[in-house]
Amino acid sequence: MGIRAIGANIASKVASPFTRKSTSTNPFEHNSFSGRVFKGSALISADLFQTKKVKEASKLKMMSASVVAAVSNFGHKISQPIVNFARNVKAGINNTILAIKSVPQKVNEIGKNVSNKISENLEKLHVHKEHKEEAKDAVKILNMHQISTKASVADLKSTWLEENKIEAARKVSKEVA
Amino acid sequence: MNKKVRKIIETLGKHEDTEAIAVLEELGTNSQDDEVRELTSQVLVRKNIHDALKVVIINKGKGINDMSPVVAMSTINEILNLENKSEAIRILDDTINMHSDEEVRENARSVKSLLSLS
Repeated sequence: MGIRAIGANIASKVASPFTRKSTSTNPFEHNSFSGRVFKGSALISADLFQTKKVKEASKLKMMSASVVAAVSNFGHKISQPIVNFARNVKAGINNTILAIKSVPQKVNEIGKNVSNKISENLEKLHVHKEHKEEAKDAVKILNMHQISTKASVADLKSTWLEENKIEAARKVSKEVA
Repeated sequence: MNKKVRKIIETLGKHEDTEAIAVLEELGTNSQDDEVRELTSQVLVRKNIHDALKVVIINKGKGINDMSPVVAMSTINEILNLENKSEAIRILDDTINMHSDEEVRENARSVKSLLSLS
């Protein structure tokens, strides 16, 4: 027996326990058909071809699990500063909202003050106008010398009305007498 | 009618302010005193403008349509004495053709006949 043959035997002896311990579901894997020709038709979707896929799936699962863990760790590590940042932002927004809410009140107060001042001034103006109108409407009775085309129609009218009143009073006094 | 009222009416008749016509219509032509109505109608005719002549021609109970014959005749006489009668004739024509009251239309027709004869 040469060295090559010994090597081959050893290789077959060493290799066989691993093959028997395989978890594969392939029924033809344990060499029961070794040296024979398989005449049947092999299906593409048979269990024979699933071993590699299972391994790949397990690898993928491991990888995904590690990625998830890494992400969760990362999230945990950065979550505290983010929470603090979010709290600060929230506090800032609340302050801003309060400030905005307080602004209309100030504007309203300013508006009320302005409107009060305007109304006061308008009242003053109205009173002033009323005084002027009263002065205008004041009956001006003209005497004989003042009755001319230079006198205003309003004054002439008021004088005429006054004369009518005097005339009516005279008639009443005559009737009573 | 006292002197003061007479002077006021005559002054309003000469006044340039058109508001004077409204005052004459309001206080003069609605007065209970015949003399006041007569004088008021006369000064309104003498103004010889559309708004003044309209008062004494188309209004029932005023001017030529006054219930007092003295006032009506005095107003008609004043119209006959007008130098330029064109505006008075125009208003009389409109009154004859368009006024709703038959009595007013008849009075206007009579005055227009008198004007054509004069």
